[in-house]
Amino acid sequence: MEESEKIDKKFRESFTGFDPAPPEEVWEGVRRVLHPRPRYDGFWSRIGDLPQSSPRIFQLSVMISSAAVVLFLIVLWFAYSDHHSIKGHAYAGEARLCRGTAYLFKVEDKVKPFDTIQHFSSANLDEHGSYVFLNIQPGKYLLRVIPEKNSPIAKKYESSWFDQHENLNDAHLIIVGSEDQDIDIHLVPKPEK
Amino acid sequence: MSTEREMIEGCLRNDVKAQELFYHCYARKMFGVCLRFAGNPSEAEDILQDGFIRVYGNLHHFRFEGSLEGWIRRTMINTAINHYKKQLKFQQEVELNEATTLATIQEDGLSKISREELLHIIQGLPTGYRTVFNLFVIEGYTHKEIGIMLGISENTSKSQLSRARGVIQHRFKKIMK
Repeated sequence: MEESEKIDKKFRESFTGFDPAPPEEVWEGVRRVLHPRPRYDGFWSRIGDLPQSSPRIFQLSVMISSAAVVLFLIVLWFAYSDHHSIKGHAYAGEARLCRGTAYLFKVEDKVKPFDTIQHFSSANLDEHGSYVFLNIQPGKYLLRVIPEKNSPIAKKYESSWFDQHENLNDAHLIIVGSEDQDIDIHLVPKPEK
Repeated sequence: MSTEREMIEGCLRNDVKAQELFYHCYARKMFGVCLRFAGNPSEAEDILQDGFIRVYGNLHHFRFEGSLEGWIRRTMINTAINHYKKQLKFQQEVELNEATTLATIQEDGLSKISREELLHIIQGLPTGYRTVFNLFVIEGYTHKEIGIMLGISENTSKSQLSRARGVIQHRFKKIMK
């Protein structure tokens, strides 16, 4: 036999049935190409493989959710873009009233007497005698301050409507339009005994 | 999954279990092929991975007219050839009557050379020698077919084979000393 034939024969015989096991990483590499994971790999890898269609459904649902959130924020912005505030201080004489409550009423009447008033919101006076009402829609409002019951101020001053009136029908309307309102209210002093 | 056809149909449906079964049916034999064509085990793994990806991608072309293993094997060989295409440098055609005398190799010495040593010898060949040697000696292609596959002439294929055998014989003698 020629030398070349010996060499060829040796190689052919030796590599017949030659089937070594490849590393498992090779299959993993093939599988990743055939079934790519979405970019949120860390999250989904903890709950197992997704069916073939799920990545697309997930992407679609993320898009829809994001659009819904954006739409909601837009609606919210438009809903509150014309909302304003009514804030200010309450006075008992020259001093600020620090113990009491401010009440805001919405008024639907166009003329006095005010028959259709509705309590809208309440706010406690803070240590500076100030109050604030937020998210106020345009409209007509009445403001009333009541000093804390049994306080020294309550003995000397009446609960009062803006702008220093004891009676409702004397009260001044607060008109909220396109701007915030800064309103100070003065309590009516009680008659001296 | 009782038949080859069912397995292929599962792969075409992108069923991962069918694909994994398919892979494990043929991976070992194909890795053996890749180890012979590659210069080292790491490159063999790359060729195997790329080869199977190509197999799955072209599986819809398989017509059940011949051996599936043979079809996969050809795909794997083509992948190996493409992998080394840039490295395949063949000498210009040489005279066929260039003498390449091979000294006598003793049969009993040859029998002592292990498969691992043979693999090491093949992987140590220059890329062009290794590729032609594998295609002609082990895969059974003709020089004409090898020429078409590698874009070389028949004479170049023959000379590459001759040179490969010369290197191999030289390494045999080193081992048998």
